Amino acid sequence: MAAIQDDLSMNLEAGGVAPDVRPDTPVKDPVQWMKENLFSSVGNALLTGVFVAVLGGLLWWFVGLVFKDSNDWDAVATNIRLLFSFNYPAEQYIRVWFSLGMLLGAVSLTAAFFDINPSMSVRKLGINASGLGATSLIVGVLPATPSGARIVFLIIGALFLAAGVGTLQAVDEPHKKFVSFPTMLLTFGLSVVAFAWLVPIGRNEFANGAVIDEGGFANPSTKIPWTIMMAILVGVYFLARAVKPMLPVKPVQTFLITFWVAGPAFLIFLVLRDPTFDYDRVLKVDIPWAIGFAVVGGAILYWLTKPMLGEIGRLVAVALLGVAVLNWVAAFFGWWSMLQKTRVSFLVLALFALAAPTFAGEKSARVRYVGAWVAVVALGHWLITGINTTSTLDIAAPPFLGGFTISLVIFYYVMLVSFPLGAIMALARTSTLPIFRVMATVYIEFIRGIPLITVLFFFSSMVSLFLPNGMDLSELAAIFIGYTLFSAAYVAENIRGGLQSVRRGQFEASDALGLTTSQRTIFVVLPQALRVSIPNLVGQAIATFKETSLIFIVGAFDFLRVANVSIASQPDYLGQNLVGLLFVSAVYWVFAYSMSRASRSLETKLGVGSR
Amino acid sequence: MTATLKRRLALLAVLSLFAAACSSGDDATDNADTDSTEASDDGDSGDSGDDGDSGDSGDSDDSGDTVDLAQGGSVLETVKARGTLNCGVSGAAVAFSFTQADGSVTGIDADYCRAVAAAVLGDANAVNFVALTAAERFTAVAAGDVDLLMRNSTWTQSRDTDVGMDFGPTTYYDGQQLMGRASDGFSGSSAVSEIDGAVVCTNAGTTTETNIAELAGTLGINITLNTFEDFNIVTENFIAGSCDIITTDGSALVGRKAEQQPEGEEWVIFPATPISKEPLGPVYGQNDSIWADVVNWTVYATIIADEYGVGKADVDAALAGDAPEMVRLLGGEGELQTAMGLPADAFYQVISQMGNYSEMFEANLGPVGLVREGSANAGWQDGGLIYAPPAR
Amino acid sequence: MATAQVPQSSSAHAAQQRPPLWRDAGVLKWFAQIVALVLVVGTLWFLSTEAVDNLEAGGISPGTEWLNGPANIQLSEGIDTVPNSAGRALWSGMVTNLRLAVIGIILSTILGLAVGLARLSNNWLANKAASIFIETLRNIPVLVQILLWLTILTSIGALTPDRGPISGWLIISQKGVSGPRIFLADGFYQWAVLMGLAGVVTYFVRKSLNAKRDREGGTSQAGKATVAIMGVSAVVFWFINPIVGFLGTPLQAISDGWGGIPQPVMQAILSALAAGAAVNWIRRFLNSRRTPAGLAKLTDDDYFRMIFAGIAALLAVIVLWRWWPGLSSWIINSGSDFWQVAADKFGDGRGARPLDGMKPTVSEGRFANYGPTGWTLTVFAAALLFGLVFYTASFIAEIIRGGILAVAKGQTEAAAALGLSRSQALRKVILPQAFRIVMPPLGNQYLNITKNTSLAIAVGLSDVVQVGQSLANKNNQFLTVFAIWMLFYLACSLTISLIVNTINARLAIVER
Repeated sequence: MAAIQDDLSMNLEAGGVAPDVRPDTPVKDPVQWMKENLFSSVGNALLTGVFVAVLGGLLWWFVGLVFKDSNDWDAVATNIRLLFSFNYPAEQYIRVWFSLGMLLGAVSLTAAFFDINPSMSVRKLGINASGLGATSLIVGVLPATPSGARIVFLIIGALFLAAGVGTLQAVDEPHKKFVSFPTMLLTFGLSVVAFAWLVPIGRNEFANGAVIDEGGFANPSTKIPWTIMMAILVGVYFLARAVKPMLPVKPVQTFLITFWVAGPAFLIFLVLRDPTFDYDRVLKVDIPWAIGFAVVGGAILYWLTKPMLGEIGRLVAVALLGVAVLNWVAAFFGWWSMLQKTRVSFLVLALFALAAPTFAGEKSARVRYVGAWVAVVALGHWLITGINTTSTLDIAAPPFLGGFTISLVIFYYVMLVSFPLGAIMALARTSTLPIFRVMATVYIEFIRGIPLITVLFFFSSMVSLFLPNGMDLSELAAIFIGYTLFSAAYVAENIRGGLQSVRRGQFEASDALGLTTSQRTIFVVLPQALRVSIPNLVGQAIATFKETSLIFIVGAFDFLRVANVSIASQPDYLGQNLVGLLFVSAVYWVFAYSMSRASRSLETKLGVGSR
Repeated sequence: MTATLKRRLALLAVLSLFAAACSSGDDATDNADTDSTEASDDGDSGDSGDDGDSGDSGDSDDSGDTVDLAQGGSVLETVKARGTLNCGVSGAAVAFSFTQADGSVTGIDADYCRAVAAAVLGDANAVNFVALTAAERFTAVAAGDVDLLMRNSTWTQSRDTDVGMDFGPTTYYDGQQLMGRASDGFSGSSAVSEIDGAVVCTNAGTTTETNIAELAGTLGINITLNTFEDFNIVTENFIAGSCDIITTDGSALVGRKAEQQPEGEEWVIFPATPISKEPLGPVYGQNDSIWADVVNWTVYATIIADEYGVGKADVDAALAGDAPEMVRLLGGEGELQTAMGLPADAFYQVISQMGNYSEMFEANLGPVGLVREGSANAGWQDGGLIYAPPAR
Repeated sequence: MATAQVPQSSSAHAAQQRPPLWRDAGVLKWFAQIVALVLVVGTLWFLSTEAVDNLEAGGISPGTEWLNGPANIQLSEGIDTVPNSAGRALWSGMVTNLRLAVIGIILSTILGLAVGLARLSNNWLANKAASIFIETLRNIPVLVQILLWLTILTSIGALTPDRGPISGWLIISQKGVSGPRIFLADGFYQWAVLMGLAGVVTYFVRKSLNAKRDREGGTSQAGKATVAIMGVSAVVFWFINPIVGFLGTPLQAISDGWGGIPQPVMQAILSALAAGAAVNWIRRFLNSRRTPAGLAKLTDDDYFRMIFAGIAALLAVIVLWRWWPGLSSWIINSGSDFWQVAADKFGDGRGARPLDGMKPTVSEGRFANYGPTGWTLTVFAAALLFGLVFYTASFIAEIIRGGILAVAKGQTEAAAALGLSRSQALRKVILPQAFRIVMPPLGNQYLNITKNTSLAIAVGLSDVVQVGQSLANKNNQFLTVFAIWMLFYLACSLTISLIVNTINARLAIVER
């Protein structure tokens, strides 16, 4: 199983043209291997020659590009903080570390509780290490490399090559032994810690004489946090593994999924933003409203989910909807005032009530439905309270995040919101109701026909025109809305592919069971459709992630702008665009590549396409 | 059959009525609805309004405040209530405003933002810098996203009249110039007509783009004009040789030449008389004279202090000194500042925290090689244009 | 799930009796749809009136008149760098987009094919190199790649008149790439008409030759005949193409005739077309519902459909006569213009040469720049193009690899059994079949590359988005500019989809 996830074997297996090296075959004599794979015929040898020349030339050129005389890598090293979190205040940085710690802990918990155990065969490890070592050695030998870096490359190259070859030689049957995930995690944590403590990075002063405390061997401002972060990553994993037998797995998994959906919003609004709560108001207004909605709404919903309730349930739901709509109409005409969040809560309650018959059933099902409602109320009210309180953070620009963080935040929200939107549109497009179908089709095809950049321009420069006087939307919110609407069309197309793959028999079976249309859609069709569309959706997510770089063009201070503009405008690093761009490429690449690898193994795990 | 037909017709009629009601309702309530929404929200939530729209991405946390208060009175009240000044800057203009590695913003534009904050709030650090691109800056002022825009913006007739904003006193008299290579045969006295056939690069969305295009048309010369959002790329391409000539405000060219001219190459800035007038100064929302006075007199205070030679170091001496204008300005006597809605010591705070015009100039523009002497930015006694009305 | 409520079943025993209006699924369905439609249209309408109000409050009346006004901008490159009107500036930007898209599509297909094949190679190094190419390039945002290319390309080296790699023919420098330019000369259209005639002749010759082969066996000479006829015609017509110069006169007459149609007549024709379409649709719809026993019972759905067809036609007529009468005159004028343009391509005084070419030159003077004679790609366009081509090629390579792998292994073995060499098998058996599989995703990539040409703004290239943006910054006519962007890109997308779909339909396996 694990071997299937092995990259090399994947290539060869999928390639189907070099069937002589199966993952299970033992390591061959290098000379023989080269004969088979590089010089099997005259043409093949010629090809090898050409590719040696091309690859060597490219590597030479690339090393020259990276170590160009005019490149000042200090520009990146000094500005690491600016690149990742822009102007988030240094004295509040503990919040960033806290958030990162939470995320890393959640990663570990997820790995432990969802049994994510990627492992690597020792053979693969050895080959990778020696490959890395060999490349490093070649870079060290190339004349383009500056003498200082040359030594480092040669040492690292020799070490890796020796370790890789040594492993391959020392271990019997390396293709049958595997390095386990905990070992890899531990190694990763230790190397990060070692890197933080041993590698001197950065400079200690800049333009106006102020000192930035980064780099050097002894400075604790990044080293200690990184050590703690790695301790969390590794420690939580082992702890979770230890306590796993004692805990019920299902609720923990539900909790983790909830965290991944709502956690980032919590971190952004309640941790990173540092809201000042007016506790008087929280106690007198916010909490009573939330409890009221949870209790009263819960009771109504519990009653509404009673099976065979009949007409009266629908009447109540419609009445609730009426009240909810009336609240908005009242706001429109100024009849009576009301907290905006109560209006929203009424509307959500009405929607829950309308959907209630779909979820009607035994007591446990009803309790679960009420539980979902209470969770939505709690989470929603909590977040609204957190969002609406003022921030105490002394941050230079109103978007309190910038750099890579804002790219990640935009990515997270766009995916989060465009997914349900896309699902609804996909359902509408495949529905039998012609107006819905036409509207969804027109929307999807329209959006898919135009470039993202025009959508972003439209929203960033024109959205204030479309709003009534006095209403305003911040630039970033406008960008987010535009990007979400754009992304939803693509998500819809991917889900539609899945929907179409659901067999007719499933529909007929659902009808035979007497399910209503919505029950059939929610419980039978969508789950199957989503499972089929997961690979495409992950591909879409990667594309969305990469295209967050486009918000650079509409003026947001994202990763790319900080690297390409902000840093290059500092007097010390005027014109250092190239290093910034190379760094940005590297970071984007690491993230996108990991996502695509993860999606590939997910595909294998789900067995999509093999069923 | 007839019964069902009737029912269908009835349904159609109801629908059309509904549609009609919707459309007529929209007209009648265009303006009424927003006001009432705002009012209703104010009524029950004092702090920042539980507006649903602020939840979208979280950065609009205090925009609700801005809107609510701005409708009531001057921006001055809004700023005081908020406790910070939202100041729009470039964030990427050397010597004017750029972001440092620790996230702070430095430059003369940034310093004037701080000066206004010192005057209004007594604390030069109570500034939220909002980095804006050239294209979006004026929209930000008109929409009230920023209280003050200090983003080397040229004061022109069309901008002043057209887009919902007003201009304050000029803090830097700039002019568009061109930069070429001495190896291409340029000298400081070269004329613009000599750039015939050149690839000219400049930044997009600014007056410089229009200026050079118009000038080329007038002179009847043929140029290729490339525009970039970001002047770094312009300079990069000039260094690489993909651009033969770059053009922008003279101050930026001087800065770029000082910092980026490669060894063995000679860059030349010409013509001696700039091809355009680019007075750069503060920009604020239209028709708010209380706020306009605050910003204008903060600038004037730095200039008057400069005329008297009063800087950061000797401001206390000047407060106790015998120049009545200076004493009045620093709040020692009279009610000039309080009448404006500022604390009496507002300009004392400005000078003591930020210094006078000359100090700010030297600290930010001096390092890149810009000098006051002999330029339009010299004081009026020295033949320059920096002049302030009397404080009395 | 067993206890799930089934509302329909409770009323099942009363099947004959229709449920009340508010429980009637047929009515509710339509009611919900119409409410949704009204809500969407209402919201859009509300927002757009708001936008128009806001714009007019700012002293801007959104419209299209300004397109004829002066542009006041200069473009970096394109068919017209100093356009005399805003509309012309946008048009020039569109042409830049289209040029880049076409070149990008061609180059990325070639590169993607090469990398995709290398990815399947037996040679370990080629395989690995292709894999690195794909995994590196497709995981870096295209915008970052474009900016990187700009930085890299601008450091190639200064432009001098004798610069290589092929001095006088191909010049590469930090100012861009310049090569020989081949362009359509005066005689081209006349030559093209004659070649079209030759094509028709060839078609019939081929048909008869193939028929002969089918009758008598042996090998068909169709291929050789085609080459012979077309080759000889190309050479002969090269010299005698002025003989069809008279075509200008009839085309001019068509143009005049089209332009002479009065507007009401055009409106009437178009209205008739709309009404006819609706009637035709309803007729066909009713026909489809017709059973041998007569007209089937029509459901509510069917009535609503027919009513909507009628309303759509009515709306079209209202649009034509009331809201946008200009549409008809636009059709008249542009139709006339089209024929006029065609007529201008012909004439007795036309030169004889259909094609012409020029070598690249480097301008003399203070600055070394490429002269107008060669085919020049400025460094900015090159950066954009390189970024787009490499990025897209990495996706195309994967698509092609997938397509080839999807062709059953049996096909390869069968080809080998027939004695075809590896390259023959690839060309004649595998690629044609793989082509069918890769066409739809390939079309998607072509669409992407076309849309991504809008990133030109990042390298200061005057494409339609950059020009629109700088025009809108000056006059605040964002609405019109956005509408133009949309129309342009939608037209591109539709064209590409149409081409891909047509090819797909041609390629589809004919199944019994």
